[in-house]
Amino acid sequence: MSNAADLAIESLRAGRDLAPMGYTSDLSVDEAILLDEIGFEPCGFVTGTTVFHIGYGGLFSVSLGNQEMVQITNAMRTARHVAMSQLYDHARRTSADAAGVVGMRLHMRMIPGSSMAEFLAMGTAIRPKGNADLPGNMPFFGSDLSGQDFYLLFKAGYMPCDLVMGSCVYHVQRRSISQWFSQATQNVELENFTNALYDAREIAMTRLEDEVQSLGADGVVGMQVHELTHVWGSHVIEFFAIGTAIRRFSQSNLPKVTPAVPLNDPPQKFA
Amino acid sequence: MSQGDNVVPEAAQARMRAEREGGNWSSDLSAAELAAVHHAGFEPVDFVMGSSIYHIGAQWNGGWNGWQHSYYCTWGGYGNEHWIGYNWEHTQYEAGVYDAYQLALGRLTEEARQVNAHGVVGVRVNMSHMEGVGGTIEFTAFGTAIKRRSAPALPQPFTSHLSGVEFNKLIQTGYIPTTLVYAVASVQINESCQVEHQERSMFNGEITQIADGIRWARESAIGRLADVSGPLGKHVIGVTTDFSMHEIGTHQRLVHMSALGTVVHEFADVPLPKEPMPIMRLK
Repeated sequence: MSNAADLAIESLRAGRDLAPMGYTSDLSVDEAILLDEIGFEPCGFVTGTTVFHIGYGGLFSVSLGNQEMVQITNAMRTARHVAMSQLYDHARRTSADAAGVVGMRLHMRMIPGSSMAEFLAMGTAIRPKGNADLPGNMPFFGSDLSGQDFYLLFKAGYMPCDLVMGSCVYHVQRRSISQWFSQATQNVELENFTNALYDAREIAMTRLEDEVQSLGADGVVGMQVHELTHVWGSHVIEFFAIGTAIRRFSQSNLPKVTPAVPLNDPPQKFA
Repeated sequence: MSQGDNVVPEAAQARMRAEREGGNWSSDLSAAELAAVHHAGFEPVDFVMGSSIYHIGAQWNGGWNGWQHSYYCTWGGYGNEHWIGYNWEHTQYEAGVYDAYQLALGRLTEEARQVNAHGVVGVRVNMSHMEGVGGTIEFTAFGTAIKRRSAPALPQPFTSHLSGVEFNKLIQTGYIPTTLVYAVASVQINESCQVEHQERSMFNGEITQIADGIRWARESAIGRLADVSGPLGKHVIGVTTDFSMHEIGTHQRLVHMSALGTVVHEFADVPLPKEPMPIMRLK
C-alpha cells in the first residue's frame, strides 16, 4: 500500500500522460473498477433531451367516461423515445465503438408556469476494451443498470437489450351527483375507480411487454410501475412502467454468493 | 485581493499558521474516510477552502462570438402576433462563472500548497446567486488537504471531488486523481411566437426552439469537459451536472448547465487482488 502511494506521487511529479482525447463518465469509482474488471471502459457521459407540450387543451374532463387519453399517451411515449434516441445518438457520436449505455435515468420536469415539460435521459456510454472477451454480434444496448448491476448480470450470463417502457394516460370517470349523494353515508367500493386503475395499469404493463417481445428479450429486470399525475388535474393519471430487458448469452459464471451481516452502527447524530 | 490573485487572505493564513504551530489539524473527513486515507498511506493536513464573489456584466445581445440560431415563424406571419426567436450563447455569463470557479479553486489549491499538501480530497464546489445584488454570484470550494509524509512536494497539489474512501480505492487499483475539471454552457432563449402558439395549442408536440437550446447547453458542457480534460489525462470520472433554467423576462429564458469531474491518472496497471465477491446482506 505504502509503495503504491509513493508510486502515485512520483508519477504526478514526473508529469501526466498526454491522452489525445479524454472521456467523461458519471460512474462512481466502484462502478468504474467493476466495469474495467469485465472488460469495459466508459467512452462518455451522454444526454438526450427534448421539450414537449403535454397539456390537454380544451377537453372538458367532466364529460368523459373511463377512457385512455390516447393523444396524451402518444405525446408522452414519443417524448421519452425522442429523449432516448437523442441519447443513443450522442453516444454514437462520442465514440463509434460504443457498445451501449449503463446507468440511464429518465427524468421529466415541468417548465414552471407553462404546460411544457423537459424530458431528459442521462447515462454513461461504455465500450469493450481491446482485449475483452465479449459475446459476439451484440447489438447496441441501453439500460438503467448501475455498474454493479451490469457486472452481476454479465457474470450471470446476461446482457441488457434495451430500456423498455409502457405508458398509459387514463381519464377516470367522475361520479354523478346522484351517485355521490347515494353513496355519501355508505361503505362501498368505488367500482369505476377500481376498474379504471386496473385497466390503465394493465395497458401500461402490456405495452412494456410488447416492447420486450419485439426485442426478442428473455425478460425484464428492475421493472417499476409509477403512478403520475403531472399537470392534468385530479382525474387524469399516467401509469408508467419501465425496466431493462435482458437476454442470456452464456451460462452463469457468478461466484458463490456469501451471506454477510454488516457490523456498521448507524451514524451517530448529535443535535 | 486583486482579481486573479491566488493570495490566501490574512485570516486564513493565521488559522493555518496556528494549526501548524500547534501541531494539530482540522478536516471534514468522516471517520471512515480518515481510516481510508491513512490506509492509502496519506494523512490529513488541514481543511482548506477558496471563495470568490463575482459580478457578471450584462450582455445585451448575442451571436457575435458564440453559438446562435434563429427560429422563424413557420406560418410566415407578420405583425404584432408574430416574431422571430433567437437562441444565443451567453458568452459573458459562461466566462464569468468559469472565472469565478477558477478564482475559488485557485485559492483552495494555494492554501493546500502553503501547508505542503500533496492534494485535496472531497472538494465540494458551490455556486449561488447573491440575494439583492443583481448579477452577482458567489463561488465556494471546500475540501481536506492530505499529504504523504515521506514524499517530496508537488509543484501543484492535486484536487478531487471524490471522497477519502474513493481515493483509497483509486490508489489500490493504480490510479491517482490529478485535477478537478469544470465546464459550463449558457444559452439565452428569446422565444419565437411559435412557442406561445404551441403552448396554447390543443395538440401535443415537441417545442423545437427550447429543446434545441437545452440540448445545446447540455452537450456543449459535457463536450467542453472532455476538451479541458484531454491534455490532463485520459479518464474523467464521477461527473456530476447541474442544470437550471430561469425566466429572466417576457418570453426570455436563461439556460445554464455546468459539469464537474475528476481527472485520474493511471500510474500502474494493478489488477484487483481477487475477484469481487458477491455478498447478500442479512440486514
